[in-house]
Amino acid sequence: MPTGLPNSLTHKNRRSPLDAYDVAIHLEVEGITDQVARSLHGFDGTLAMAEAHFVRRPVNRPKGARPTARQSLVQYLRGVAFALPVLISAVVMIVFSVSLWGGSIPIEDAAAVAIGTLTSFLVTGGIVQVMAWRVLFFLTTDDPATAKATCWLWQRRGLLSVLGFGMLGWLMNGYFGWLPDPLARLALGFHIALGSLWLASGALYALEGILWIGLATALGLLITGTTHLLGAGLYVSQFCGLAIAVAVSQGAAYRMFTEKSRHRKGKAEKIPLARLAHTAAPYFLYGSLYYCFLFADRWIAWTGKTASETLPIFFRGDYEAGLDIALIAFVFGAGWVHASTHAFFGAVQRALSELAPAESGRFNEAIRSFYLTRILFFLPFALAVAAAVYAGGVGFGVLNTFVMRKVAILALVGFLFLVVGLWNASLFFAFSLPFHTLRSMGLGLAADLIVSYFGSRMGHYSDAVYGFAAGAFCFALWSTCICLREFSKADHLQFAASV
Amino acid sequence: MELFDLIRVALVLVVTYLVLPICASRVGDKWKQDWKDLAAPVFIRTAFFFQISVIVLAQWKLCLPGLMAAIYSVWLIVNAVFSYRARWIYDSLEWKLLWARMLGKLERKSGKSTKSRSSISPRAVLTYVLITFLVGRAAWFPLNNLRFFTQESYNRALSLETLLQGGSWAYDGSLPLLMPAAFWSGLDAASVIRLCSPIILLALFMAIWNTNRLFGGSWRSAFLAISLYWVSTGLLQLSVGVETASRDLAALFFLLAATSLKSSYSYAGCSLLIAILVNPEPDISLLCLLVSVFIGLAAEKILRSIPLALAQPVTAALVFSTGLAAILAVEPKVVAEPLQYESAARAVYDIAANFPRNQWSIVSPSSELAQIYGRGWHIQLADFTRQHTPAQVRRPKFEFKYPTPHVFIFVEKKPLPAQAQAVASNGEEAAYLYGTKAGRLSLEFQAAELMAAYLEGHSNVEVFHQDDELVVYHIQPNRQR
Repeated sequence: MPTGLPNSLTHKNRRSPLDAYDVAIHLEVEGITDQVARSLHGFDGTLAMAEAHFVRRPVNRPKGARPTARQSLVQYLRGVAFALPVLISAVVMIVFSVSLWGGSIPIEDAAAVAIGTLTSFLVTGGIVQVMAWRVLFFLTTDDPATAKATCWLWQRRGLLSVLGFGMLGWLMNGYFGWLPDPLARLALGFHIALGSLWLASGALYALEGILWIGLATALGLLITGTTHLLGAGLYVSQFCGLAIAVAVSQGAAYRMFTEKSRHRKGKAEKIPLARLAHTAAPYFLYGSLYYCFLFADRWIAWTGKTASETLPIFFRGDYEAGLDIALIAFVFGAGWVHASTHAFFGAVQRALSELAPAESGRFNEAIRSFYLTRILFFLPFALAVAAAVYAGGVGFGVLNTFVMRKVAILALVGFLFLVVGLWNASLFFAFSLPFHTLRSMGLGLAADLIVSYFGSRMGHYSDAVYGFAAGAFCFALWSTCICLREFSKADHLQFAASV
Repeated sequence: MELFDLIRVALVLVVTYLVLPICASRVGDKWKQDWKDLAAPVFIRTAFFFQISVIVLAQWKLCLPGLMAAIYSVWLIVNAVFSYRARWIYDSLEWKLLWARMLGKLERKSGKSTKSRSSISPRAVLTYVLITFLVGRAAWFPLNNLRFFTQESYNRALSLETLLQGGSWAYDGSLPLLMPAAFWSGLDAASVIRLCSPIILLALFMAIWNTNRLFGGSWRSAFLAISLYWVSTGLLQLSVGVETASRDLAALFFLLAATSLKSSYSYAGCSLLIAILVNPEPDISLLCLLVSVFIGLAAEKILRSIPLALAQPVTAALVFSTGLAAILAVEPKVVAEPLQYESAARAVYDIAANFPRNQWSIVSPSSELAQIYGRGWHIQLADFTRQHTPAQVRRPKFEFKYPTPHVFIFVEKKPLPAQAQAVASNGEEAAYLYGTKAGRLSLEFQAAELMAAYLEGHSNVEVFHQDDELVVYHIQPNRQR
């Protein structure tokens, strides 16, 4: 064996090569061509030299530890924590009958508030996703100053979109005459106020400031309740509460950014429009499709069989009650998504340390079986949660009509599948395969729209919930199939890059 | 406001029948094709699409705005896809290339703007002026009359509104073609039926122009054909363009079928099928149209064969005389007696605009039903008079048992001159009460008597509208007496 080894074979601090090809690449970078390997080192070529040295070097990969039950529980609770504001709102609503939007209002007003709420989610959903993506990128690359500037840039764009779509909706309402004037103003007011709140909360989610979101919600509720007690009208109180919640959220986000960047000045990235469209499209579409999927069946139920109602878009209280009860089970399921994603990458790390890159078949089988086991364990858990939620709903007298119970059961089934689909979506994004998410969610949305529409138009309006269940099933099934396909063909290096 | 509504209907029809389908057809390889060559086939294709899809969906009571919008969008996409190379559908590389091209355009930010040169000859402006004037005159009638004059129009409006609400409709072949306006103009069915008539007339004139263009005519043959058609239908009192009639639409598609024979048998067949579905019994107005077009083309041929020095004054004389006759001599009017007072129709629109949807009921003869359907509730005046007596309604504790917070009662001070002067031939009570002079007189007298009695013992009633012919009472049953 000739002496004078290249740096790539002797450097102590270099990471362990994954395989002989990895070593060969480094050798070629250092100028060890086939000719050099033959003449100076006595090998047949660069690859032969790499194979000879790779065998000698031990694999030195940190071994991924199996998560303890406590760690899993912490991850699960972190996953559930996103629902903290909803939880606070629900508790305050039940105990004090105060809410940031909605409440005990006439059915026509409820329709206007519901429309404002729904459109605020639809307009901001995509923008919040893009904002979070860019902010997280700069935070993980240790550039919080740019993250801060970029966050404000997207906040401004988001606010402009909320205002722009609000005006467009106002004009369309004037043209089609869906809502009479006071109701149209109410819908527009909630659209803008809630849109601003979602944007501010989006920044805090990116900064993992869940407690701040909870505090902002609580303060908003406090202001709403106080001003209403002092004699202000319900909507005035709610707008005051929302304004405070937005201000606190924005202030908290500003403070967290300032602390992170230590008063360094950053500049918002100026990406050319075409590049922005190319890179941000998957995130934007994901956010938009997700909310379209969540609300499509509601919208269809609200607009079905309204010929004899006072408004062409009519809020269905019983339908909403069933969905809201089922939402509780979704919150518990969302915690599972967070914990499972964390556990999945732990399993990937363990497999990477235990198996050689050449053993790709065994590696893929290990990942695949972990994935399937996790889903199989989730199903009884989800069914138990769904049954408990349903029993609670019936027991406490919330689900007291047939329509409510039907909607709750089907929505519980739908949310179960949605959780599985969302887990797959999080894995696709981790593996830089966002278009798989978009395809499966697009398929789910199409199924949701078709089944909801025909169900509600040919049967009862509450049959729209079949669409939600069918759409969630399609989303889960399609994304699971793609996941299994990707796991069976993915190579070791792709997983190594994702952890 | 009425003019604004007319513009809405016109815009919706132009966009759905021409602009979007032409854009979809020019997405791919046909982007260089002249829109004037595409207009007629695209119009026939779109009309055929609406005719068939509406008839099919109506069988399942699924002819609803959301579903139609979705199907129309899919249809446009299919048009766009098939106007391009077929491999576009299945080749993912083509999609990626398209996305890359779009990004490239975004990168450049601005494309080269190409200004199309106008090819309108100064003399052709005369024909445009004539068309504008005649359509304007035809539009004057629906803009100033919210009521209809024929039972056919009332039935059509009612049928269209029933279709929009997902109900069982009385088949009318012309309705599928008007559906886009009813869906996307945001207006009620009665307004759409009323305001579509001048737009159909415009389409008919454009079809005449197109026929002339394709058969070697010029501006003067188009001018002659249009003015002759207008004059002949006016003299025959066919009320063309005044109130939407199946025959106008059918004539349009018969003409398009004849024109399409020159280029495509399939389009000719589609157009003929639409015409037959709209009106299976061609009448004299179609004959007027075909003869006018023929005379226009024949005149063109003759004028081309004679010396220019003679042709020019003859052309001027022909254009002047026929144009003058069309503009001055013939006024669009409806010969039938009205079935409803204009003030009654206006009162319905006032109520619909100022009171919440489905929170009001109108007690009136059946004519108002077409304008009320889908927005409020209607109670037959005959039922109202039969169910109550003056002694009963006079009691202070009496209230009408109608489930809405607002009830409007239409009483004619001067009963409308009924079309039938004797007992209705079919013997039905409603036909006798509403359609005969004696029946209507007695009905309106009973209604007036009932309201006079009710006014004696109640304070929750006010006069909503009153003129020489009609009085509309507004009762709020739940209001404190």
